[in-house]
Amino acid sequence: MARTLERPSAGGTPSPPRTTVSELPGRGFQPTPAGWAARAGAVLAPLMVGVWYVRSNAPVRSDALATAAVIAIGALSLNVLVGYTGQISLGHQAFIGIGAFTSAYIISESHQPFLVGVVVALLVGAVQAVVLGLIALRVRGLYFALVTLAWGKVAEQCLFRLKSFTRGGAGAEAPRPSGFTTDKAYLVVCLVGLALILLVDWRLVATKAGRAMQALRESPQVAANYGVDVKGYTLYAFAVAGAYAGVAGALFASRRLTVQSGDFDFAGIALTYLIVTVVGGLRRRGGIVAFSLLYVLGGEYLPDLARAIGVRTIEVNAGYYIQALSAVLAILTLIFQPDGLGTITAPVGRWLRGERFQLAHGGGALGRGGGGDARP
Amino acid sequence: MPVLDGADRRAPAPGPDGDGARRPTAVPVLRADDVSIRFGGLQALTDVSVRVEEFEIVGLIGPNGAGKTTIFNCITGFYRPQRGRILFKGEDVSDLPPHERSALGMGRTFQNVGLVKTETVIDNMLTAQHAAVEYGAVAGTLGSPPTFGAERRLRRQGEAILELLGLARLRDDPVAGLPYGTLKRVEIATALATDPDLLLLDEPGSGMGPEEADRLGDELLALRREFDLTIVMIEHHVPLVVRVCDYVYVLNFGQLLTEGLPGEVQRHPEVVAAYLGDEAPEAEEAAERALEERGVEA
Ligand SMILES: Nc1ncnc2c1ncn2[C@@H]1O[C@H](COP(=O)(O)OP(=O)(O)O)[C@@H](O)[C@H]1O
Ligand SMILES: [Mg+2]
Repeated sequence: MARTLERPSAGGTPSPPRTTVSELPGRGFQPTPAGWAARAGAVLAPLMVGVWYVRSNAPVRSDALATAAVIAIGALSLNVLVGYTGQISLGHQAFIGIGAFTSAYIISESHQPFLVGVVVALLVGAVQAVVLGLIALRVRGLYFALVTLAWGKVAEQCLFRLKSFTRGGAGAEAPRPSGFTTDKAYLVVCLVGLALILLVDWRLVATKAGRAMQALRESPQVAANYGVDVKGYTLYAFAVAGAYAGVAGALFASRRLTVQSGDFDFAGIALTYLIVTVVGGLRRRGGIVAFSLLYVLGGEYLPDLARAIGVRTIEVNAGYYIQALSAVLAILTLIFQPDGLGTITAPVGRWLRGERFQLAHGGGALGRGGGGDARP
Repeated sequence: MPVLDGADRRAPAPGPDGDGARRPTAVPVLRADDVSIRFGGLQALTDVSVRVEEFEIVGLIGPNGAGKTTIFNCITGFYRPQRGRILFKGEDVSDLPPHERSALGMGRTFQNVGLVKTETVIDNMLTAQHAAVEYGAVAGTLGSPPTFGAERRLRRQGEAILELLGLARLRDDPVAGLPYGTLKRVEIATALATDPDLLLLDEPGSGMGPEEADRLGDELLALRREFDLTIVMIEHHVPLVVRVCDYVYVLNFGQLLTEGLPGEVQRHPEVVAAYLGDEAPEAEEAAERALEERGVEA
């Protein structure tokens, strides 16, 4: 390993004792066998309950779970922009919708297999996002937020009404892959998609592109000084976010079987996904997936709950109540708990990986720290 | 990265020779030629020329607002001077953006600390190695197998530099919350992680007491040897400058006031007047002692 520094002896003060990395506290922690068993149990138990539930004839709401997976992917896409890179998109209905209509077009008009539809949606999603990214290099902050808002509206009002692309009001057909046409089977497709996106997202932040994005979010000067091409990685972030959104759109389309322009509006898609991202926790992939699930299951089971306690207005307007509740949660999150649901999921994740259970952990999130203050 | 492999290294041959002149080489590591820049009505730099030879430690001093940080920004590409050129290792880099100059081997610290504050120290060390990463961005994102080993090597390299600077125990600490003097040292570690040939330090000793500044001086001399570095430093601790620098430039009101060996510059009447001001006698004494100490070491 490294040689220690030679210190000129005339320096006077003796050098302080050196800690080496291998002596660092915390490195040596190993869970006991019982600890590992508990961790394995914590992973396997919900998995088995899930499998049992889906396989049983219990009233499985596979379609709802598939929706949760799609929302999770869409929210992870926003997380790349808002969470990792510090950019914003208020027009994500365009991102998702373009993926959906592209996939539908490829499958039903070009008669290509479902998988081709997903891949083309991914690529087209990335390209349209990069175009938006090129604007982000020139227009910043609030003005760029307005540009994304406009982009969403343009897609909603013009692009998605192009008959040749979206088949207008009749809607574009997006059949499911053969062998996966039932809700339960299609849920598996969506879960595989979500798992792949989660893997990619994990590697993204564990390697140089993710680190570059996070550095340029904090301070473009520091990032450039570290050798990061700030413009290049801003565009890369848009490409990755667009690719995730393309996949979400493709899965969305085939879940619905037909998609229409009305499916992609600001409130239903862009705002919802943004709220899910914030409440789940910026940069907290586990929290985002968890809140996607809570959001959808909340909508599914709230009417039952309301009926049980006899509140009729909630029973019939459950969707609105969930949206309103989420919006309030988002505001509370931003004020009090910037890590959102990640406050809980992140420590659980670290525990599962064999660390001690510990709620607080370094590393800040939105609102904390405030970034490097290096001015050039 | 070639650093820390335990290989034998040529001892640097910096500094003045016997008669006090500088040994010029054909291709200096850094040359700034007649750099001028103005901000609105303010002429921040006027025809400033600086030359830095290989393995030298060059000091840049001058009162606040003299334009020291501004010339660093021109050298590293954060500012584009209206006139003048920057040559790095013989190559004209005047038109390159900062990240390309960093990748070519310019490492730099900022006067007010340039670190990613929400990240941990080790994550900063990883990010700082960006230009040296062996794999492409897409390969990393898609989890291609070689990237796992490459990441382990980056981490080891980062840890080795931290260890070398005695910062290993801060490895997993978030940057936000570390004391200012420590941040300055962590920033030197990240600058080293960019694998620089030329290290530009903007007031590395600020926030440090005299003893710490003294230790910093030893450390810079040792780092130059260990990493084959050429160093330019902006510094207000005159004793530190006198002890470690081979050559000194003095800026005042955006112009070079004088340049020369530390001992000469320090006695220059205009420097005493412009830079040391009221504290002149005291500071001069301290510098004098530093110079003597240096003589003992040599
Ligand atoms: N980006 C900028 N815009 C306007 N003025 C600047 C800018 N950067 C530096 N200056 C001015 O240039 C002068 C030199 O500043 P600086 O190089 O920071 O001085 P110092 O020698 O203390 O590092 C100051 O008057 C400063 O206000
Ligand atoms: Mg300065």
